Amino acid sequence: MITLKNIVKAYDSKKDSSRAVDGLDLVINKGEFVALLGPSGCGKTTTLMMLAGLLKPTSGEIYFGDRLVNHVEPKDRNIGMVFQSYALYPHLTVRDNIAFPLRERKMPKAQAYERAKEMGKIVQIDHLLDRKPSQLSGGQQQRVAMARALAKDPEILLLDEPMSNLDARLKLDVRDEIRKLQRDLGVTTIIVTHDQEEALAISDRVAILNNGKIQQYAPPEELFSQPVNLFVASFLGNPPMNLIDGVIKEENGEQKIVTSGFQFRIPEARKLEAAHIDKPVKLGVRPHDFMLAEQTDSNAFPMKVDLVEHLGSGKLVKVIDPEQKLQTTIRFLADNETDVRHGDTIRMKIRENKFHVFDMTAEGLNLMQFR
Amino acid sequence: MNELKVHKKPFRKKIYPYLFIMPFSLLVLVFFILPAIATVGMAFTDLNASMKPHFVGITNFKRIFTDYNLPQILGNTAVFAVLSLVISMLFALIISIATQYFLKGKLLAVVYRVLWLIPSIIPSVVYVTFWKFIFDPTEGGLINEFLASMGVISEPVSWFTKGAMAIVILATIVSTISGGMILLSSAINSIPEDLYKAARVDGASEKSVITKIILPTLKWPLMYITISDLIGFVSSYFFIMLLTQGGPMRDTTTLSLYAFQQAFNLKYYGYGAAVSLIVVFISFVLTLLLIRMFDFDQMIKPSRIED
Repeated sequence: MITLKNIVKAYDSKKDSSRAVDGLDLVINKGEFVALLGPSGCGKTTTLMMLAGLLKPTSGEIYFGDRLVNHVEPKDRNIGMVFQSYALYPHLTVRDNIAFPLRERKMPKAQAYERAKEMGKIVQIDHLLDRKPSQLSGGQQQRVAMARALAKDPEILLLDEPMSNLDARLKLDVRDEIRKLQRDLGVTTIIVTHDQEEALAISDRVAILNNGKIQQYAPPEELFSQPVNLFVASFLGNPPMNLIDGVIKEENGEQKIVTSGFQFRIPEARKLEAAHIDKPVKLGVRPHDFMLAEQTDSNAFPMKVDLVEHLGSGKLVKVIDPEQKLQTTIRFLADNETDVRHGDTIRMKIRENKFHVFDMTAEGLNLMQFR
Repeated sequence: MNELKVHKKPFRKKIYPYLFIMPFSLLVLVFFILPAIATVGMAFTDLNASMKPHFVGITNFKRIFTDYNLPQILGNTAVFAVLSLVISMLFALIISIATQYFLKGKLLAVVYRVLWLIPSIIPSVVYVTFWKFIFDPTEGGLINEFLASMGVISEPVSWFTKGAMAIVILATIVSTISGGMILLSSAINSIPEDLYKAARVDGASEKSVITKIILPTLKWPLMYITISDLIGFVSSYFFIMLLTQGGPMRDTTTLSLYAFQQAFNLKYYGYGAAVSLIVVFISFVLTLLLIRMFDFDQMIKPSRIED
């Protein structure tokens, strides 16, 4: 188990604004696969470097199990690491690269080479052991880096954007392989990435970071369906969530959200606390949570089609209210069978329970109660 | 009828490239090619101060190989070139690793490297005067004064008679180190930071970092320094001439200095030219040899900087 307690990393101790990581708490269970996800500059790589021991936290404590490791050297942490650039030693062969950490631990050469061969087999590069890194493709280099990181049988595997230099299709394969390897070996793994799809696909839990703080730390499906705040909601998802300014109103015991373009009745089960009534909010709806409505649906509203983009697997439709009073257009995803054209007026509704209401504070907290 | 029209470049356009290189070609012709031809020509004459050359065939070359000074001069040349090269390269290597790896990014490292640059940017004459002052044989010499004040010596030591070659080599390497240092430092600087980080995670010792990451990266710059410096040392005489004039006796006379002295001090232009042709020949053979030895072809292939 890895425990990070109130970690702060400031590159300039005099200025608060220089804090790359600002009071971060994180618990990672043994054998868990955790992703640190966030936009660039959010502190995710700094956090990983502190876990590796390549950076020392300005304050706070890092525990591996019960052992405080703040001042433990990287080599004594029993970690394996894969760098974004792979950082293979260019003048050593693949075999020597994989055996390097073992040789540095004074393992006899024959034994280290035997282990290198074994690791090569696991990551399927055993036919390339005599090559130099410069003679390998990006995908092969990535595998060598994995093999080197895993050769010393580490307790913790740290991956720093390991797939950002691979092409899109290869990424899918490599991602599956890394996940499978991790499960087979049971090694606690922390991956840093800015690719949300990768993070959501590969991890047991994802920590979303922004401005050096954890915004939400939860399993992928929970992050997606129950974002705690506006940042998480708008960061995740592609195309991004629609965010529409509105006000909460109550009439005849029914709550609704009134925007400048349409009204939307909040279902009974999702009613907000009375304190929020008459307060401005942001209504958040993911593009695939809009749908075309029957003429008779009482909670639907008319929208005018502004633009239709074909995505292959479906259509991305941009709509705006007929009077064009909304500040922004709304994106919604329709399947290929839906026949909508520019200029059409359609009736739309929001999928039951698939909406979020955020308050207007700086954090933009999600007001929905998830029961 | 369709006549195939071949587009011809107008003559004016064709001549442009030649117009552009012409001024420099003239300079090359006047200052490099003509003197070279003249030197070769002179080597086969008995041109001297009387300025009335007669063709003498290979007499000059015969004379070189029977010159009783030759063994000592060739020995001096070898000692001077090899020792200067080895010592200056070793120091350049040590300084580069120290400042670019152990003290990377520290202000101290930058200041230290700039200090080493000073000997190579001050004019040679000033630089040599400085060394002459240090090793001055009178009581006023820096070392003599220092040693006398410490009570180590009572009489001033004549350093130039005792170890002229050592002083010449010392002065040469101090001014040469900076060149190699710049090349090696920038090569070390090009090593990605991630490699050092990976090495730290892998528990690599400093020795492993130096032998397995840094030194292999320096293979090509080290080869370049070996070739260019060695040829430079074989054919240069300027420092030696200013410091010792080849003396005492012929203790520090190298082949190229000998050529200079024969031609310009004794006015045996023909003989001097012949000796300098020998210098050119030795440089040429050395270059070929080193290129073969170091696999120079590999070096000039597309970029060897591996990322």
